[in-house]
Amino acid sequence: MSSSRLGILATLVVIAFIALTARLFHVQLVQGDPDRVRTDIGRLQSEKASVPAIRGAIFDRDGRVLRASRDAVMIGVVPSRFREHSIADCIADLRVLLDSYAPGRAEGAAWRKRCLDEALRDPYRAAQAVLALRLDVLRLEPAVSTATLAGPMECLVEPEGTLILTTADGRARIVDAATSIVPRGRPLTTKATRRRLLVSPTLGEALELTPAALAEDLHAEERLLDRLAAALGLVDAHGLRDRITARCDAQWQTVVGLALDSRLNDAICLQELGHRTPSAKAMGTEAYAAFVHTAMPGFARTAAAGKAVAHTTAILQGILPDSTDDDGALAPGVELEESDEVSALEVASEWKLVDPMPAAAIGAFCSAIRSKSDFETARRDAYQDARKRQQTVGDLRNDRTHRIGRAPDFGLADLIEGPVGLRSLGFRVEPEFLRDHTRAAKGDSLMLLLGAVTESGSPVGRGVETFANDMLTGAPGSILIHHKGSAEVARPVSHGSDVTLSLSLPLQTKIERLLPRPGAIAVVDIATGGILAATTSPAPRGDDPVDELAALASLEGRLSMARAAARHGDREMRTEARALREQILASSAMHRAVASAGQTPPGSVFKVLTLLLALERGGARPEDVLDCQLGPRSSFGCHHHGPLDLWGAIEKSCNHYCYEAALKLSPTKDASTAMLVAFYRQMGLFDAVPGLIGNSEGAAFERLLKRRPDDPRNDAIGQGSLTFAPIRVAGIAASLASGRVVHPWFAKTEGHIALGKPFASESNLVIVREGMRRVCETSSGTAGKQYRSKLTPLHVAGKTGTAQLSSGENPLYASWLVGYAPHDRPKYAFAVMFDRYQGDGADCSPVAIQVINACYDVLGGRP
Amino acid sequence: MNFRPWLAKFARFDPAVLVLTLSLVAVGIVLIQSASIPSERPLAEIQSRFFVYGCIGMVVVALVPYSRWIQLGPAAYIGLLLLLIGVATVGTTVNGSRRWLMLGFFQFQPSEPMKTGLILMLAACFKRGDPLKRVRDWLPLLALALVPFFLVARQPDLGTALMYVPIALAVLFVGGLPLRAIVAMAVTGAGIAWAAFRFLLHPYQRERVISTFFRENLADYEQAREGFQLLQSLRAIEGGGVSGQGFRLGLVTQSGTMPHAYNDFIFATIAEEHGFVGAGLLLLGVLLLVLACYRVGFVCRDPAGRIICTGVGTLIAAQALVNAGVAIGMVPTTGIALPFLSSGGSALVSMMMAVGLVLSVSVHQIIPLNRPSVERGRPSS
Repeated sequence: MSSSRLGILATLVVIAFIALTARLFHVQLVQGDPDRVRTDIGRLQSEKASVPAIRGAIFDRDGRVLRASRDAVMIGVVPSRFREHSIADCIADLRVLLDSYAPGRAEGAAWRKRCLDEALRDPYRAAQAVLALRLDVLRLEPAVSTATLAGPMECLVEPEGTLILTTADGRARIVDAATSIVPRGRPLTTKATRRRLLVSPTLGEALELTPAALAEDLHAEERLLDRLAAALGLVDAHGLRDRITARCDAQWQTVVGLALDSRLNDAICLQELGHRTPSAKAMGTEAYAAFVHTAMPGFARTAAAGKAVAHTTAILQGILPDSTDDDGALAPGVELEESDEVSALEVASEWKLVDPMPAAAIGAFCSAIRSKSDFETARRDAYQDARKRQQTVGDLRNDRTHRIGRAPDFGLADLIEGPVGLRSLGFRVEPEFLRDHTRAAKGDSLMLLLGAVTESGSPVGRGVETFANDMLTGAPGSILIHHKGSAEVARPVSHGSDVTLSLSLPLQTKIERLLPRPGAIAVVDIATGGILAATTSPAPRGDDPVDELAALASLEGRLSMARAAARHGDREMRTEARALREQILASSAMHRAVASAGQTPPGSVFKVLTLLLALERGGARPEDVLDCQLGPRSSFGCHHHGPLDLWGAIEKSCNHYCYEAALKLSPTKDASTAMLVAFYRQMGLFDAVPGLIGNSEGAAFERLLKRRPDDPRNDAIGQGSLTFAPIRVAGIAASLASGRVVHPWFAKTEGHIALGKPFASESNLVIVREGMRRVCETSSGTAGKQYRSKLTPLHVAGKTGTAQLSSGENPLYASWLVGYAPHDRPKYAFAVMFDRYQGDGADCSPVAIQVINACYDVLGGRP
Repeated sequence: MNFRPWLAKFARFDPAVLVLTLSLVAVGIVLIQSASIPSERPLAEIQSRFFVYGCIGMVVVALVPYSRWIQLGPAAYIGLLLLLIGVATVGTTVNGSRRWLMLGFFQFQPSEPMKTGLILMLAACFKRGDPLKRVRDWLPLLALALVPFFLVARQPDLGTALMYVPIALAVLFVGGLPLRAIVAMAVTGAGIAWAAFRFLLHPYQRERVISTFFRENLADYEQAREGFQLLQSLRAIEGGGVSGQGFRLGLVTQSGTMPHAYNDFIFATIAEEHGFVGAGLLLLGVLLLVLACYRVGFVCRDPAGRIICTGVGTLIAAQALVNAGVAIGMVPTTGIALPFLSSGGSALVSMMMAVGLVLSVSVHQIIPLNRPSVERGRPSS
């Protein structure tokens, strides 16, 4: 044993330590970057998790729950962090969660094993399923995956469950259903396969995308790349595009570059058009639309584009003048009304143009606008699809969490956090709350009053969910979860407030199915102004109100656009508006008691208001007798009632009496009309109904009357151009009963005054009320003729109305019975309306009787 | 009782070995304090406790003549071998590995003291200092290392098992292994390594190799999945710079995103918090300790004593090189602790007792020149 060997050994050890130190030097000092490390660790160190705000619940007046939220789990994935240890396991787990299947641990394990076994038996199908799943959850067309996998492909499965797809020629290899593409040169051999698989360096090569094919349709290529990138889970789609771009000819590359560079857009504008900033006014409308369509995806993404396109919309629709004055001022003689600009922006808002939008959608939109008559829903759907895809790809590119779906059973969090460890695989699992739409029974119009909430938390429809959205929606909080397990509140959560409605659920349930034909019922509490119940027929058909409400909202939006155009003399739009209204009226998602599209003229119901106003103005006295000799064939006809006083006029619903009363209101017809309209305004007919109807309708009425003043005689008998929803008319009845202006409400809002000031003298009101009592309780009253025996015990006072909706051989009417009960101590005001009916208002009496009986049974006060 | 002889023995402890050992342990306790998670077990306190046990063990071992330990070598080796077999049959499985035996209230890992047992066994075989000219001279000695190697590799604990190999090779080399045998062993070893990689390694072991040596060819997610520890270690080291980020201020270490920052990757902690200077000084300290062990063996006339020093020094060097190599990305992740610094009570005590053997050699072999009554070349009692 020599000492020298020990010396040699020591030398070798010293050399080893020197090499180690040299490597340390290189790692730590040469390639070390403390800033980058800081960034990386910041990303890893803590994870922000959102704490969802619980959306407020909705209660009826007695505290019964009408709408609430239930626990759910949101599953998402951050693609760049996604790690798949086993595709089959992931598929199984996702299916379990998304299908609302909540097995115990043992069952879940068996499911996963079965999926894994299937994957191993038929890996190609499993791989297809994986891609389909990814495409499905990313909401992209499955056709893309077929194209991607066109031609024979082989799928290999390694013992651990890793799936490897390869095209037949081995040119493309997608590992683990493409969370990455392995670069060329790395041969892979496994025990299971024993094959060498060569890989392609770029997806473009593998898919043989040619410059010519790509250059044909720039937008289609971008979409294809984005889809493929999204489908394959590639985060950096730009990198792919750059690589493919580099292989294309110069011309195409130039086009791509120009399209993507908004600064160059401005340069092109200046060079080719002489204007730095494109605008409809500067370029002329048609040229501007063409420019936006073809050359400016970059510009389209700026916020200014929204307003510019809205402006264009208005010009193309003729709402705004197409002016090319040098100084940008409007042509002389043209007044830009605020309402027109509002309309244009409303249109832009409805089409969500105020947000940046993808180029493809601009093209679709501009085409639709130019054709004017093309309002196909498909255009809007195409636009919205493009937006969704844009957002999806944006999520993928920007490392944002992409939502895969929701599992409604929060208890599944155990499965997620348990041994399967989905979170460790890169899934994000966050608690959420799903809106429970099931408390209102299927087919109930209550569903329409409440509205609905989509999965993403957006309200849809005209119900309380929309109107009280600000109150109901809280503000989510966030917590910072540190890697060591501790957590701290980054932002406290603020849960939504609950909303209590004026609705009485038992009453609503009782009258839900009383309507024998299309129409509406509304009941108002006279003491508080609260809407106790409101039903409609037909009622919603499906279990899920969201789709129905969304479809109705789409129709209403298009109707609004069509009406705006029709107001400016566009005959095509007038026809279109009529057709759209018919569709809306046929929709079961429209609540006729509330919706603006369902408004009808009140007919003779408003004679009460006319006569009351005449009494107030001094133009009439109750004992004044008029000999009504007008027949139905006269213009402004009547029914030969003979001599009538004011009570008789109400009782028998004499048009002639009301014509005379209206004309006496003022020396001129216009002034009489104005007086009537002012009275309506005073009665709150143009005001909002908190929780159900917004303020915009009142403004619409005013505009309408300004453009086309009615003959006061038409308004006198409720056959003018003004139409009202049954809710409002019931409010009128409540006002007449109480003597104060009753402003109906559904969901109380701050500042809303339910009971306003007196609007007429009590003596005059007594007169009118007596007339209304006689309508129901005398044999000559329009309602009492047939139903006196049933109405009298209920102490109902009311007024019938039969408003003509169409003329011809079989005219259609809106038939009303509006009133209150009991007439001596009024508690409930009601309005029953049959829509597009061929009978008169008296036919509403049986329904009204049932309504009043229901009120007495549920809420008391039976005389 | 006369303590003078004992005190005289204390005085003959090799100061370099003693001071360096104690210093490294002390540094280790401080680093563990920084790298451990306060809400979990107080690792620094536990390490301190085991430090005391280790000191006691080290002193006891040092004060007993190493010849006595060598006499116990075969028994210890066989006993530990039996314990390794026991582990394979009735051992406790933790995280898929069966490495421990439950002895009452504590877990005992036989593979750690087996390193020392192997050294003693080899020392016993070299007692006479016979040359290793023929295969039958050295092959049995190699087999002494291979038997526990296979038993431990089966657990599976390939990292620990591989530590037996450099011990045996160093001992054989110093013991006079012929050059051709060295070449043959190198070639055979390379072939065995290739075959093992292809056919014998578990998938996770293979992936560790790939994620170390072929990282550039892996996709990000694959790097992150299998080489996460290495990624974090490299991040920590890269962030250290020249002088480090400061005690308890290391971003990676304190973030808790580096697994095993207090044992397997404590070198990364040092490099991050104390920079290249700190890590370099640490490596220097370990190297000096290794060289000090070799020096004790160098001056030792007794072959067995030299073997002990060679074995212990090589053990310390191999573990330090592998552990640091793992942290820097030169060696696949193995789970080998950094001697004296990594958290781990039984490993610390084992290592200190191994150093105690070296001290025993220094006490009982080095003969002061001013003691003519003691003959040189003979082991003192």
